[in-house]
Amino acid sequence: MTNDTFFKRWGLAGLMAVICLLVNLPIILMALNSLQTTEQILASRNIIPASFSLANYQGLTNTPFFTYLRNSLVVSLGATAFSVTAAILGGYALSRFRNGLLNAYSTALFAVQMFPIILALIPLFLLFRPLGFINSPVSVIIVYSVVNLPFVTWMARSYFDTIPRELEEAALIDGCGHIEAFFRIVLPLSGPGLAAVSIFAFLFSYNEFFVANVFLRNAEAMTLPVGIQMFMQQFSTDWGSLMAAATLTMLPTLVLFLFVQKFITHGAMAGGVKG
Amino acid sequence: MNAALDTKEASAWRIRARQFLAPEFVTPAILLAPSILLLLVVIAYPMLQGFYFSFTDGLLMKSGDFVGIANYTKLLSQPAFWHSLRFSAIFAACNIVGCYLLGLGLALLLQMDMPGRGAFRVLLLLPWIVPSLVSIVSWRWMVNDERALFNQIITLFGGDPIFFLSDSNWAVTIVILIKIWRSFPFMMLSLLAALQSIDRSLYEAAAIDGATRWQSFWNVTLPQIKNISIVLCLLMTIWSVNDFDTPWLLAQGGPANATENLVVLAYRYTFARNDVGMGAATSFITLFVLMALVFFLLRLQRRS
Amino acid sequence: MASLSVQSVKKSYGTVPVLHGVDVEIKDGEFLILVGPSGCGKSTLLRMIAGLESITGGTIKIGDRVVNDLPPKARDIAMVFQSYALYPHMTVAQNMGFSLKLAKRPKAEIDAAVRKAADILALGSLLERTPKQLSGGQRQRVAMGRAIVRNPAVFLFDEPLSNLDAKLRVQMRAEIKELHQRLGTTIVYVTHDQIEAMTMADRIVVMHGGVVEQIGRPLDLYDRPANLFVAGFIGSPSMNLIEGEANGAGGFVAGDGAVLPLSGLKAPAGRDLVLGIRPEHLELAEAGTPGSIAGKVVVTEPTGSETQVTIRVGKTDLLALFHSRLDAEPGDEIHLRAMPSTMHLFDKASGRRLD
Repeated sequence: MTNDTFFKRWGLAGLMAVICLLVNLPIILMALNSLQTTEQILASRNIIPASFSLANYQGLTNTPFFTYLRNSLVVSLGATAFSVTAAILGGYALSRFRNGLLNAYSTALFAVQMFPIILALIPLFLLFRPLGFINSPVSVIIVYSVVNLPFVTWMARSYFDTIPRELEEAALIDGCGHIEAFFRIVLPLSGPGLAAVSIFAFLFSYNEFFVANVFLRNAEAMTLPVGIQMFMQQFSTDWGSLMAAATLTMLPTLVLFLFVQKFITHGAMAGGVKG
Repeated sequence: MNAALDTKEASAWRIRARQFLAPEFVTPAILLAPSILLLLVVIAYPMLQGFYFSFTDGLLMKSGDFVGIANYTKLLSQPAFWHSLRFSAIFAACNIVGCYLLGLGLALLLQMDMPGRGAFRVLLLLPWIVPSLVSIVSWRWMVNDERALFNQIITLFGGDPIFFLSDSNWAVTIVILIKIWRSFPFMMLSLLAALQSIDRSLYEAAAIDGATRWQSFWNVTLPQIKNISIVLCLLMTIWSVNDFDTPWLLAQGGPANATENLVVLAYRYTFARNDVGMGAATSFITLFVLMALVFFLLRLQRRS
Repeated sequence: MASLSVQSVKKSYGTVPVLHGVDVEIKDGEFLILVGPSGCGKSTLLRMIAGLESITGGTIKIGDRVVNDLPPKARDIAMVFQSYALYPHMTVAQNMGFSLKLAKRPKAEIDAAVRKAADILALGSLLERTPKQLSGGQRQRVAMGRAIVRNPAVFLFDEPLSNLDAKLRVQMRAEIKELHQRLGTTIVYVTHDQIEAMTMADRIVVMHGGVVEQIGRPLDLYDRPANLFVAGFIGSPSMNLIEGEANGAGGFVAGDGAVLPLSGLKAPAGRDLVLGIRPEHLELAEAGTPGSIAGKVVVTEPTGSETQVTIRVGKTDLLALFHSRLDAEPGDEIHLRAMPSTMHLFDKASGRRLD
């Protein structure tokens, strides 16, 4: 019987390994092919490259890739700072208080989660232009902060929910005011959760294409997805450089995601299901 | 008599005022103020303005005049609009069905006991977490020309290469496939969490009652995840209809306008054809379509 | 140290009232226990004293200072929570010294105070641990230590023992009582466990449905419960409460017709009454003893030191508690009697004690 379960468990693991490989095949092939020059790619077209070179990656230094990367970082860090501040405040309010205003706010977050953002983008474009926000990270940071709001708020809230109220009450009795109790007790205890919230806010902003595509139309201002998309339109046959750029773009996403993957259920479920 | 009434009213008013000023109300109001301000500036105000724009003939560079419902009537008379609406519907329907089947299947597999389960879970989330641009680059590589991976496989089995991105039907198929690939992990993750929250003892009770695995799936698992499934399908519908990245990045809504959904159409009206009025009208129609769908699905849920 | 005065205190959440005007005077150095079933408002009252809940009406004074609008930190109180509420990111010593640190006392003074409290509670060897590394009983002690370090005017305890297992609870009961005798600080203690209340309190406040049912010393509540609620709540197993009326001839006719002798207890005839007899006050009697009644044994539950027996008299089931062993099988007939001084009469309509 133990033998039976042994084979069943490893058989299942084998099946899952094959499924994971198939599911991730597009990404894997892209990463492998980025290690071949465009000439080699077009000449051989083998699934697994015969020889490897870093020529494509070296070639990226002659492109605006690193300008895009810098823009991406500026935009993502800015949006993260805003989103996380709003998430801490809003998540804490939702976790600790109950009233009509909070119910309305919850509903508003739901609406934002489902809102066709194109609806706001057209007027925002006209609103931002006279302010000089087009082609400036400011416009994108502001919009991302709102787009991220539902997910990060729900995630922060589900974290604050795990911190017992009594701890704050004990702190009040020990001599803290409400604000001091929050900073001395609640915030230190929600450290890991808030780190995860920040990373998710960063990931969403870093990955985003649509909003950036509307507001950042000048090559100097573009983030990675918009810049690479431009490149894809113009040099559609330079597969080597394209795949190297895409692979490099993906790396920070993957690394950060591995750090926070165990927190993902918190936010996704809290948002999607609990309401 | 009147005086008594007055004081009674006054005291009721005072109580209400005190409730309004109580820390239980004021504190959350202060905490939410920045976010609410942001929501008003970035969502509410533009939305109202966009609604007004949809009744004007404005351009990107020049505000227009009020033209009544002309934009809407014009839009409804355009075949391109009806095409987009149909494509949006097909796109959403296929995406939901595909994601649900794939997500549920994988969630059920991931729930079983096996070595490396945590790692598999993470690996299966990758398509969801990589930037949309990266996923499109990687897929385009597989379908781009007659010697791309898909065509190598087809030729291997003796078929003729297919030009996936220049044939309308194939482009639609591919864009749907990519969308399913990009969004099934969310479905899988949420269903997995739902499956794991089912009380184990229900299965034990079912087994003692003599249920087979299939029967306990049908009678225990499915009813337990029904509600969350409806909610997930609702979210998926909304996110599919709102998707811009997948059709735009793959082929800019092409070939011709085969993969042009309502959002791409609205974008194109505004930013390519410089017609803010039509763009705004199209995005409002998108919102109405969504609201109708949500209403319909919620009714469905309430009835069941 | 200070006295504490609760004067017609009211509380409502929105339009839902939870406390209907509570008056309690607590003397300096007294150990007062609020007891009642869950939802009776006892915890709410404690939290209002602590300043964690707003006061809808009435006055709370600590010493001679009205504290209604003072924040918790200004009330000179310390509180032990049911969940202990130890800060998980601080060591035991940091937990205990936190209040003094917030008060910006010098480090040497904090250390000395923590050390002293740790000695009292035998926590000396645990000071550098975090709460996660402690057992339930140790956490409980740290929570008390944190309260002691502050040297407050009043200690508040919110069901501090309910998360401990039965054996530890008995031990902690004695320790808290000893601590009170040693420190002499006023204590207000909330529990739903009447045994805890009986064993520890100087005085008990029995609450029910947001009102005070009775205030008194433990044995007074046991001997002279003021109403049906207190009669049923205090004492374990609960008092037998039999509905019926006096027949004017020295007997009590239960609802089903069974006649119980009142043995001289005066009872007004012609109104609905409730007769209360504690199980431990029923004694075995020889057949034919005046004032005794006959019944049939339904169930016997021996616990070793005592035997609990359910006896059916007519159609009424009475619970009796004997300190001797009883050789009786279900169905056997036995005879019981109770001293009139141990019987209680209540008016059914108002629930009040008669006499």
